[in-house]
Amino acid sequence: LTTTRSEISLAADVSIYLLLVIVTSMVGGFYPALLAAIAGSLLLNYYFAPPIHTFTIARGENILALLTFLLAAALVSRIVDTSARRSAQATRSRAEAETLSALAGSLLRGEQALPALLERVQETFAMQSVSLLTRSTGPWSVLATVGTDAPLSPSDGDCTTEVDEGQMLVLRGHRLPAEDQRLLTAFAAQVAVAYRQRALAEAARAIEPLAESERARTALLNAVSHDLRTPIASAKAAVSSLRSADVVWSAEDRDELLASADDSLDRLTDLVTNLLDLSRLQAGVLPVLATRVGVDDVLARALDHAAPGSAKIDVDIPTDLPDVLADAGLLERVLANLVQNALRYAPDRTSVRVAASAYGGYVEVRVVDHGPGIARADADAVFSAFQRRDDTPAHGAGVGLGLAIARGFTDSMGGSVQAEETPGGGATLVVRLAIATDTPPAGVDT
Amino acid sequence: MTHVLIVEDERPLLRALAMNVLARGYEVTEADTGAKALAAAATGAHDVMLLDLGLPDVSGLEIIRAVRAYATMPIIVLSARTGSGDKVAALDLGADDYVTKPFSIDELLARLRAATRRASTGEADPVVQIGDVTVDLGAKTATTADGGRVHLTPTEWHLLESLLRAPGKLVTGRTLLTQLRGTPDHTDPSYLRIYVGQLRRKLEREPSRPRHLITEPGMGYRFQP
Repeated sequence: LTTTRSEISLAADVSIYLLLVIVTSMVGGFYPALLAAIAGSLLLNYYFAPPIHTFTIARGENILALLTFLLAAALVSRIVDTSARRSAQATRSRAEAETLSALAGSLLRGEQALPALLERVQETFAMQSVSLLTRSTGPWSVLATVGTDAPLSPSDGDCTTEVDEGQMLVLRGHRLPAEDQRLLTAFAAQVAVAYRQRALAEAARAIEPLAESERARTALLNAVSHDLRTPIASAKAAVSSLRSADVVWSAEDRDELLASADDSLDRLTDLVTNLLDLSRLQAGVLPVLATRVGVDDVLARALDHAAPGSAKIDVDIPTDLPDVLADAGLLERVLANLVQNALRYAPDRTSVRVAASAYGGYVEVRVVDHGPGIARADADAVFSAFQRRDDTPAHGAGVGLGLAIARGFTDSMGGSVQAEETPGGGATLVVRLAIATDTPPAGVDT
Repeated sequence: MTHVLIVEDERPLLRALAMNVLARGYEVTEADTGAKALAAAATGAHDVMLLDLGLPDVSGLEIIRAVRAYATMPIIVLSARTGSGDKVAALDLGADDYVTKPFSIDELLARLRAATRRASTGEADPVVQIGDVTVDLGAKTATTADGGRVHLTPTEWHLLESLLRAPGKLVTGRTLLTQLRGTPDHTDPSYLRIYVGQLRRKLEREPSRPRHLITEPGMGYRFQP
């Protein structure tokens, strides 16, 4: 510029210097620009304002021009600097907002929010590792962590922030600039929510099995209560009717009431016997007297008990069926329970069939009904105590002890009971017992 | 003649109930399933319903809901459960009273009589004996055997009147609160208990073992004449 000063006026020189100052302020900020403006005005004075090569100025208008340059340079650099700063701030805010909305999104997505959040903290602040620590009393323990060489206590970290009471988010990697602290605080709040969410989900999961067993217990109590109260209610109603002083009952009415009380008490007896048998089975104190027993003899007694006068039972036992090794009393209960169960589920006009056959050292007694049948998946479950295949207590249905007791008794005699499908629909229950030999096999209590 | 619809799936109990009700001069319809009960109730021929809650086909609660949609006949619930949950649900749906199995026939017949007794509206205000105290609802006086006056507050009168006008019947807490406060909702669950307790102290011979002002826990109160 010195060489071309003859062609260019001081005004042009000043504007070129001004441009330099503006560029400086854009690149370096306000203070470097201010420095450039002062240096520029001195250089302009020295090189371009006559007398040249001195810091003195001859003409007043040149002094004014230089001062104006200085002022304009300062103002412009101030404005440029401010706008540059604002734009940087806007960029940062946008990044923050994006981070926060991503955070909120990951929280809403649920379950794995906590590790995802910690990863985002690590990523956002370019940290080596991030830990969420907790302590009530004593040393800190790690709740969640991401990255390598994770901090195990707040003193391991380069940066910490409190998440919740007794919880601390610890970052390792580098110190965090002050302006990032605000974002970290927002992260901490999100981490607190995510942690609480996880704790709640865990608590709910822990309660689930308890609630399940509580429900089962309540259902059982309701079923037992219903099944005990129903026959008692009938008996009580019948007996208190007979005691009523204000009515004279006819002979038929009296007989009917007495029969009702009698039947109800029988049913109550059956239920209580079943309950007691079940508790003896479960306590392992059931006496078993296994002897040579004829299935037909036992079945006759069982049918007397289970289906008195019922025409629905179709019995098919070959005359040459070998005797089995069993406890006659227990086997009678087994068969009676199976027949009662079959009658309960048999549709009105179909009959229940009891058939027996010998098969390779065993006798199989099959109790066949054409009721709704038993789903393959439930084939074992029906033998659990207190299983009834429907919730509503069907007429005459028990709490579901019959099959459990049948299996328990048969097992204790060394046999087995299985549920199968009846061809054409329904359930077939198969009792398998060893054929009696002259010497009872070992392993059966006698 | 009063016509009773008995709904009970347990045959022996159904028969015993029917025989008893017949013997007391009521007419009877028997129903051993929910479907039959609904069909019978729809004829509108019945004055009162005895309803077992544990039916095999339709829940007893469903039957109450269905019947209450078109009929106001009293419903007495027979329940085999000790817990109050299903009874409260039944009363909320519009059942009038309940008995828990097993029950004696006399107890059931008393409830049946109370339920079918015509509402005493328009009749002369009753004079009722509670222990040693004679309560005259018309004159609003309570007098002891030796002629002394028992002072009752307006709220106590109101409550006592609600109970005495339905002798033998269960009056639910909701009903009492509606009559006393205009709304069945009350923030203080002990509100009724406190007033009934005061009535017992003033009227019952042994307030700790009431004979006439009976609490039905979780459900309401009953005046036993």
